[in-house]
Amino acid sequence: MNYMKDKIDKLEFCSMVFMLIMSPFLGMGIYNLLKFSNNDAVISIFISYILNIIIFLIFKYIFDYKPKLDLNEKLNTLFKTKYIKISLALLFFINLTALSYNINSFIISQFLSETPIIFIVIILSILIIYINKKGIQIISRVSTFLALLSIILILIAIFGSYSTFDLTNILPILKDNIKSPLLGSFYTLTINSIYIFVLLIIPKENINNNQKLNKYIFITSSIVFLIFIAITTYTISVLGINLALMYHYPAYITMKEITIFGFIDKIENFIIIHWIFEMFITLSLIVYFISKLTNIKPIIIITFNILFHITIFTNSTKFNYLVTKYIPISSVLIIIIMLIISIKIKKSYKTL
Amino acid sequence: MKIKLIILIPLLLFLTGCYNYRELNDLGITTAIYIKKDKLYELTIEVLKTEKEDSKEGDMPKPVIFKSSGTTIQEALRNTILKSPKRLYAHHMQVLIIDENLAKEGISDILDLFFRDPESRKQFFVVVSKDDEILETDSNLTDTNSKSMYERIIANKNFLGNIVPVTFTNLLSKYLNPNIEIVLPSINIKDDEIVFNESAIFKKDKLIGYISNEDTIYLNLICGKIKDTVITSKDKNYITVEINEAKTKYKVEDNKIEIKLSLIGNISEINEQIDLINPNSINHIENIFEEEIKNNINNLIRKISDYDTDIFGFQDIFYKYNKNFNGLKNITINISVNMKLKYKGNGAYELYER
Repeated sequence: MNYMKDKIDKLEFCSMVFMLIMSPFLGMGIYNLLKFSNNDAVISIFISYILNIIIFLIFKYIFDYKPKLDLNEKLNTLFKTKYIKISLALLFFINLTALSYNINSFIISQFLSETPIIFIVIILSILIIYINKKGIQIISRVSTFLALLSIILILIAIFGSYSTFDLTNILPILKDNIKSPLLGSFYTLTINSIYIFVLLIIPKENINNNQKLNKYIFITSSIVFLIFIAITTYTISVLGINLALMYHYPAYITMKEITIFGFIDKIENFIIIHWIFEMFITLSLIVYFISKLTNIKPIIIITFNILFHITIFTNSTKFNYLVTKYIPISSVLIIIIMLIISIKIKKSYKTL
Repeated sequence: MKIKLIILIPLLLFLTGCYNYRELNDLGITTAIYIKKDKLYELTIEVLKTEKEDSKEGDMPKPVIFKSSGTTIQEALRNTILKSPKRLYAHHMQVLIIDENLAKEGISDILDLFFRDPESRKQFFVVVSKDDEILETDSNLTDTNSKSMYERIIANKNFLGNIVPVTFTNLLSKYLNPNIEIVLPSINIKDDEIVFNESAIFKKDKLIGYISNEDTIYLNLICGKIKDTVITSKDKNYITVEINEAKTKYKVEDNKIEIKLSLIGNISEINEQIDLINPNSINHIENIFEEEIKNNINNLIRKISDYDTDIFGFQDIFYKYNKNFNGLKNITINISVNMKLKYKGNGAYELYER
């Protein structure tokens, strides 16, 4: 049991929740959200926020069970078989590869078009391995600092493009039917919300002053969903839905319109760094999760990740196709596994 | 530890950040591109000189003009390497100029490259040109023609409003929106000067005609894009007002659209004998302007209806506010103008005749 070491603060834990939910949004999150819900994207986020409560409740239920144990130890006490652990590790590995490719292909397509993707992957991977070696305490501290920076940069982005807002671009809402916003909310939920389960690898007892922790997690996820609404609104209102749908990274393109006080402009590349920070923390936490769950060294996980990069996602079209088709399936499977764990916990309570 | 060092030290050589770097001196910083099509795309490209040659401190070197052609725009752009070793870099592009004849054929083919290219920011302005040698003209006040055009578009947007400033992002947004048509500023050379004298109007992606700068003010008023402008009433002699604040509101009912314009301005110049001390005179001037603006807008709508294009975006307004809207036929447009004149400058009275 490692509950005496790796103590982290409540704020640090919440910052990791922030980074985990936030990171997939600017890449595949908003791309799929707009693709499926068009002008109804904001409604989709509202629906996914409500559905997110289910995810939060499952998380809370597992997190509160035997607070001195991490998920690995909880699974050992609950299940005799190792299949649950292996499945979870595999599913999160698929998500890790997708997220990793998402950020790397963004860097390649926007800034370093002539550099082979492997160079970018290696740089990011070295950082992830290094921070994983330092442990969860360092990850959480770095996360706190970067989350704060992210919030400031996001606010600059939103208020900086205020002058180019045309809120009528959001209209018409619910022109056709409720099916498209529902589909969009499903994608938002599966692409953004499920990474919070990664934090189950931290025993609840390892968090200082954890009495009102659940309340803080709920508030953090509410803030993230508010940011989603703000980003989606400013993307659609600045670009218009037709143009926003044409881009892989519509939120980044919108940042090109930022002008502060009439003379600070061309700062999109500075602002977007918050997404790289968020992805860095998310990828590090997923590697940490898989590593703790399977006792595989982070370097091996990262090596497999690089191999998958080269073999599976050979181009961005293939990536978008696979992400749209398979990532929601893998995410739903993660939710199902977490549900199974919750049911097992409930049964174990009864037997006690 | 030794193995780690063996792995890490060679990595340092590869991860210096110098991989595929491009020096500033090797870049052809492109500020404007003029596109024309005969059989091939013919491009005139304005490129900044990055090295100074015998110039005084503070002097900007004159730009270099390249001409090249190719079956696609990308091919034509890359063919400039035949004339200069520098590879073009479009991040600082300020103006994209489309030849009038090419615009008449359709602009859809030229949009894709700039849309796809991550290097170019999409904030450069797009204009239509009636003259071929627009970039070769000597610019008077600024170092480059592109800068001159860019600054004039910005100034016009802020102080005059008689052209429609369209950035590439705006153009793409309008092009992709089936409910609104494109309007671009039109330029030509007059007395060796580049002048913005009309606005080019489009149907789908094809140029179909022009409207005057005066009409463009009313177009901008309807679309709610006026920041500041000057309007002159030709009632008897003339009165000129400067409009500082213009708000446009739409109300949609079935197939009826009501456009409410609220304008706030100041009296700038008068060439009529009006008793400006009397509040009724101010009301009278306001009424004259309200009536005249309303008539001019109605005339413009009639004029545009002959072209069968919706540059005002009425269809877009109906689409956004009226769920049951079926098309633009038989719609009623009501315009109401509310003008408020607040100040009359230094003069309390009008200047009287000697």
